[in-house]
Amino acid sequence: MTALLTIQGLDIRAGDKPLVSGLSLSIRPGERIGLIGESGSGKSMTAMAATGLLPTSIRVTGSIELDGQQVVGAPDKTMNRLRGAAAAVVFQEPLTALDPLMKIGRQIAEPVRRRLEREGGKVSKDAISREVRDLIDKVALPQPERIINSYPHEVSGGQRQRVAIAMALACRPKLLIADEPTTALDVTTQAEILKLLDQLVRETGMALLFISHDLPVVSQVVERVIVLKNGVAVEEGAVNTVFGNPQHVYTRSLVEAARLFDEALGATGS
Amino acid sequence: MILDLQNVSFGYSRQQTTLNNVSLSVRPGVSVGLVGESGSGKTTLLRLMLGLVRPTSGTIRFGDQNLDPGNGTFMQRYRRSVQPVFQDPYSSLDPRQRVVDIIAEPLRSLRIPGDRTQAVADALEAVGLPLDAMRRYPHEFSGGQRQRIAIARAIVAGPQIVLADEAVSALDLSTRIRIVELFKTLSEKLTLVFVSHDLGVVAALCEEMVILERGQVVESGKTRDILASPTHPYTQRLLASIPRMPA
Repeated sequence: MTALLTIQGLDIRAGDKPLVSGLSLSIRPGERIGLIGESGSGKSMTAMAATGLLPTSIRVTGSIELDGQQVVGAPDKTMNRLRGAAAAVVFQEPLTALDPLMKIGRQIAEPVRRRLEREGGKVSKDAISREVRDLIDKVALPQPERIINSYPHEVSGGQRQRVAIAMALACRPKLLIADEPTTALDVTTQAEILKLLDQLVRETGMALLFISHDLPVVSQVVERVIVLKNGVAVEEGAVNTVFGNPQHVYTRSLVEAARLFDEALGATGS
Repeated sequence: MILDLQNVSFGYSRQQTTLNNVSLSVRPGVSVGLVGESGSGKTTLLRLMLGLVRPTSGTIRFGDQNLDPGNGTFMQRYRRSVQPVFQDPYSSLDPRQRVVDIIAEPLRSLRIPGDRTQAVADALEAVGLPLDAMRRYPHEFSGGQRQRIAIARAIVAGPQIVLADEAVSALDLSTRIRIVELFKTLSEKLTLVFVSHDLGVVAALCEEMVILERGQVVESGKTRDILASPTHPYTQRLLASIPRMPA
């Protein structure tokens, strides 16, 4: 099967400062990959580059092929066709990812309408609102009527993240990029959102690029991980292999730290 | 018992109770973790314990005295004994002051006599920063180093209790573990009250913990016992929600 996303020799620089150096990775349809790193490791930069969202002041070289299209240097017109259809992104902070002045129903309707137009189908108001309701159902938001008519600040953080996920799903992307999607959430809410993401990815057969600094969180949703440090991939492999037998000294230090807190919790939990 | 809260309630407005009938005590040398999710009232509880706000009802006792934010003489003595460390090391240090002045601040404001430079040097050593850090400014330091500076400021006056509010939450994992180790070392000499949403950190650091849910204490006791057999449904849900490392 051909890869959905192929990154080869990716370099990202801001002025003289290298942010990502020589990164290569590929994601096949339906595959779930975790990009692990601490602040400044370049994990979000990589995601932004893959969807062509970096500002022009940041220089990107190398090759990024998303669904068969070259992203590096591609004009906005090409990218606009790819965004949503090939890849959709869920960001960390749902409060800033959503428009504070637009009711949630309308925000979800926007990507639904765009997709229907893209597919060339009939774009009626009824069809859109039916889809919006379906999506709200799918992400298990309670009281759909109230949610549709609420502004982002009127619902909880977990509910906002469900809305953001619904908007990404509305695009029916082949690849879902989730950039620290649960970092801003409480631990009980995080557990719900992770479960939801896992279930949706399985149901729809989307590929998943999950970006996080949190090792246990990553291990819940992906099969394979790539560990980034200062913009360089230092280790890659199956989750259980990398976390069970880390080779690189940096990965080892991360795994040790995560295990220390994990072991402090004892044998309870999942 | 150094710090004792009895049936403390607090609301920022009349309509709202942020804390409801909270009782807990801090005993010398026993580190306590206050655990809860957003909106549980853990930061408000810490603000009460710092004397920044007064309870709507209930009492907070420090030794044999009532904590009274209006009593200047008492508060001076209290501040010398109880010092805070906050979450964000970027906003809790004055960017225009040199590290030496930042750390010496409690010595100045509490009018503690003695060699201030020596006291700052001792504090720096205790938190594992080099002496030449004194002459530098906060922006020259990484997040973890800044948190060390904030900790040095908290311990420079030799407090009995350090109240830390999510003091490692803003740090990367590899930095976090080192700051947790530092707190652990410090907790051999003073009593730590550690507010956090992160049960893993509290478990690694605190002998006892108090679980808060929507302004109420739902469970408290030895950390080991609560982790082994949580009795309240909320504690059980909280524990089950924590993602674990694969075996």
